[in-house]
Amino acid sequence: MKGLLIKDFKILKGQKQFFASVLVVTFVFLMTNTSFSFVISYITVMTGMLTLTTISYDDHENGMGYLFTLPISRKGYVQEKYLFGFMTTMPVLAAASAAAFLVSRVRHIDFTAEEWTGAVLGSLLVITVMLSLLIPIELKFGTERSRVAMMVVFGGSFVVICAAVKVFEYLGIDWKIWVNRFDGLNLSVILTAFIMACGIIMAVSYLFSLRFMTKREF
Amino acid sequence: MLRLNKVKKEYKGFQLDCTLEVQEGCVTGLIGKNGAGKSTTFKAILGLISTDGGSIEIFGRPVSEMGIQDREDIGVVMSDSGFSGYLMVCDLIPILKSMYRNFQEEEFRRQCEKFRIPMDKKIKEFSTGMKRKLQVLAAITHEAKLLILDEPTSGLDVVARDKLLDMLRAYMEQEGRAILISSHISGDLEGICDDIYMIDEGKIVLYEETDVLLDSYGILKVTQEQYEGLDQEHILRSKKEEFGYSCMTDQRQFYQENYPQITVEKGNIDELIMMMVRGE
Repeated sequence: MKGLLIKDFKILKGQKQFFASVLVVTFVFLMTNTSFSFVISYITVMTGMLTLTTISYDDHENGMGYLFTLPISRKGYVQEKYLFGFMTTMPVLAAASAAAFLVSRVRHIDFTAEEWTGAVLGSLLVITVMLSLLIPIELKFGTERSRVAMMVVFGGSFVVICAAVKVFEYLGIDWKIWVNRFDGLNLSVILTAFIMACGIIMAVSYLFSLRFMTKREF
Repeated sequence: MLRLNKVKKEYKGFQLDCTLEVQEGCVTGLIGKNGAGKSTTFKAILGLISTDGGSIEIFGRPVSEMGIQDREDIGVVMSDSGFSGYLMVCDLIPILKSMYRNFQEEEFRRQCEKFRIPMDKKIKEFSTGMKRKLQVLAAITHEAKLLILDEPTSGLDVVARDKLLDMLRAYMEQEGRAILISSHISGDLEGICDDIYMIDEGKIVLYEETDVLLDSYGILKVTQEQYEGLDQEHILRSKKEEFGYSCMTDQRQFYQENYPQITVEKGNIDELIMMMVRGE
């Protein structure tokens, strides 16, 4: 796995333009905008995309087939992708969150601790769901077909959510009550439940990825 | 070192049914036209595709039971894939070092210099030949016991091909090693292989030691009349030609001695492939 991690970080080295553009956009947003929650989630999601980029690069010209002739197991490969996703997004999320908090204080913009916590947890959830959905899709369908699969998944999810909201409205069920129930809960309870939910999502995604990868032919 | 027993793989319009063996100390060639099943055989050996039957053993163990450490004993060149084009050779060194306990960094660097492979250029900018050379160098610089080389010389010029074959000969000087190699360049195989399997439409149609193939096999060029009077016992394949027939035999001397009036050519591996594939 160490070799794979080195490979992916070496690939990142070639993404200087990407990093530069994300940093510039983040800097401009932090300095000119008041929506710090957006900045935190933006930079985290953009960093998360890098994991998918490394899969695309591995897949380029059937390179993944060659990778598995080296001392690399399919299971090790899948594990490494999740670990790489974690290793790249978490420090960036931490740095972006800290930067947003500091800038809000320096610029005297009202960005409360609750808002900040919500932004950090929201970003964590977004990146967990995003990687959990997209890593298995990318591994199953390869770079080209996964674009279509992603559109189907996101489009499908949007339709399902809209339909669910309409159904709840039609049945007279107020779904916001469920969300409001969180208000009364202790922060540590919410945090524990949140981390567990993220862990479960990741674990399910990992099992799917492993299954897809084990069956894939090169 | 490597044994395939009735390995089967079915695709639409193609069926692989392959039995072959690579002995320790031997360089075994696998030849056949494009689409004959060479790459499918290599992929089956390397576990890149699932098989529909048969068994594959490497170092005496089923390939499905091979662990990561066993893989360190194998060096591979693939005809249709390689290292990520977004890496540079200097990036590969720490990667290979962490993957192979016996990676010989100095030797790898030395050979890269010898073959003029740039360290600081992205692999996607390499020519096909350079990519192939890089794969071969990576395959032979970690003390592998078995090399599985699918078209390692394709895209190389004559000089580079010669150097590369010399490297493979040097690799084989150490005991306990073996190579399975495919190539569409018959000269490569004649010069390096101890034995050769010929594959066509997914099936092994011929197996012979290279010396026997070159010393005993031949092509007879005969007229219709000569063909009718010919002892057919040692004729393996015949092909209708404008002048009569071309016949492939594994007893060249027999026909030279008993039919002095007919033309008997030694025939190289290319001609033998043609006869095996197109003859009846």
